[in-house]
Amino acid sequence: MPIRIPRGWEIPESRVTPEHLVFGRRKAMTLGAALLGVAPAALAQGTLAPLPAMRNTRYAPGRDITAEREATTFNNFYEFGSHKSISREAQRLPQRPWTVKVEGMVETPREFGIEDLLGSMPLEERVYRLRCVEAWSMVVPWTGFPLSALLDVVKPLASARYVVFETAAIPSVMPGLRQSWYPWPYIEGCTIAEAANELSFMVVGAYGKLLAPQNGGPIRFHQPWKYGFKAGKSLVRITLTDRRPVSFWERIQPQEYGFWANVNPEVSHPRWSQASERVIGTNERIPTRLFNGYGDFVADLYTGLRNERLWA
Amino acid sequence: MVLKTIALLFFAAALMVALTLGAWWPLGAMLFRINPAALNSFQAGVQRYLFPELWDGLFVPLLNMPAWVLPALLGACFLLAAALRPGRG
Repeated sequence: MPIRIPRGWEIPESRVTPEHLVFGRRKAMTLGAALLGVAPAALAQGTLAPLPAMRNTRYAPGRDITAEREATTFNNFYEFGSHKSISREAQRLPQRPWTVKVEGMVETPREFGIEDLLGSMPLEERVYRLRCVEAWSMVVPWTGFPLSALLDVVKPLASARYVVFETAAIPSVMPGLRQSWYPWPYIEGCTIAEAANELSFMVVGAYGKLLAPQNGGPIRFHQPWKYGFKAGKSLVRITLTDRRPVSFWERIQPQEYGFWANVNPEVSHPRWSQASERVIGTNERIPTRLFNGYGDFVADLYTGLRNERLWA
Repeated sequence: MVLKTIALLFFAAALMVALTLGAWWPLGAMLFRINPAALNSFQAGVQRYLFPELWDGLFVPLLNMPAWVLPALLGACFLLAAALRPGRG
């Protein structure tokens, strides 16, 4: 008799919240915030408006959530500098109006206003582990929607094999762009199969609020089984293509930052070990897990791939 | 004589760089072409372990100058040193 072992996220159908309750609650909260005038006022003041969404418990991180203050003041955003204290500088990045083009090998190319996405996409909160290639980590409650939901709207052609993410390049507010020798704009990408994976998440909020600019607001990408540099921030363009993109870091240091960049504690970075990670906030050092602990969700994506450097 | 010779070598290097890369090719782009990882690591070292302002205020303007300017300036310095030491240059 076959024995079926349920995976970590599986729950009985009887425990699933009915759809009308989930979306009814979200609409009510969003409407409430709008009626109170919270969002426009907060944006004007440079603070972050609430962005309520139901937490999806399927992706329980198994670790404490990083304090919001830590996650919003310790940031990698190369357009603002190679150090971590870019949060103040990043406030100059205008968050409205903001549009994202989705184009290339799709049936229906579209340009989405950020407000359209906030209003039309199935928002939910997911608490994901984030593992940086620099051997530190956080746990962040992101608000967003599956990338697949966005792709369903534009309908990728069968010939599309890769998804390319392009970050905004605004020289007037991004001092890093003065380093004209770097291959701006920041480009990242993944395969269409990785994009379709349920973990691939378009992020528009964190900690129950709109996404802060230093975290990649107003919209970024996140694939929690990959090193953090794969997650493009402040996106302005998503392109579907049949050519594998050469990413920003791959152009600069291909021996250190490759296309796949899946987390693997057994494959060291050329200059440091990836066996463990420093937890931001506590400075505790914990063992790193293969695929950042998301192997049950994604390991199948890579079976049969040969001659590929999957781990860096 | 030694100082003048060094100055001439720097001027020759400046001319060669300008002829090879063009008059406006930035120093940073030249260094990046030679060794992208080294320039990137240098930036990270300055911004993370010294002062971010040092990078933005000093190194970025320097690296955005045309590549030939740096060897030309060094050549000028050696030429000046030679001029200040009459008979011993």
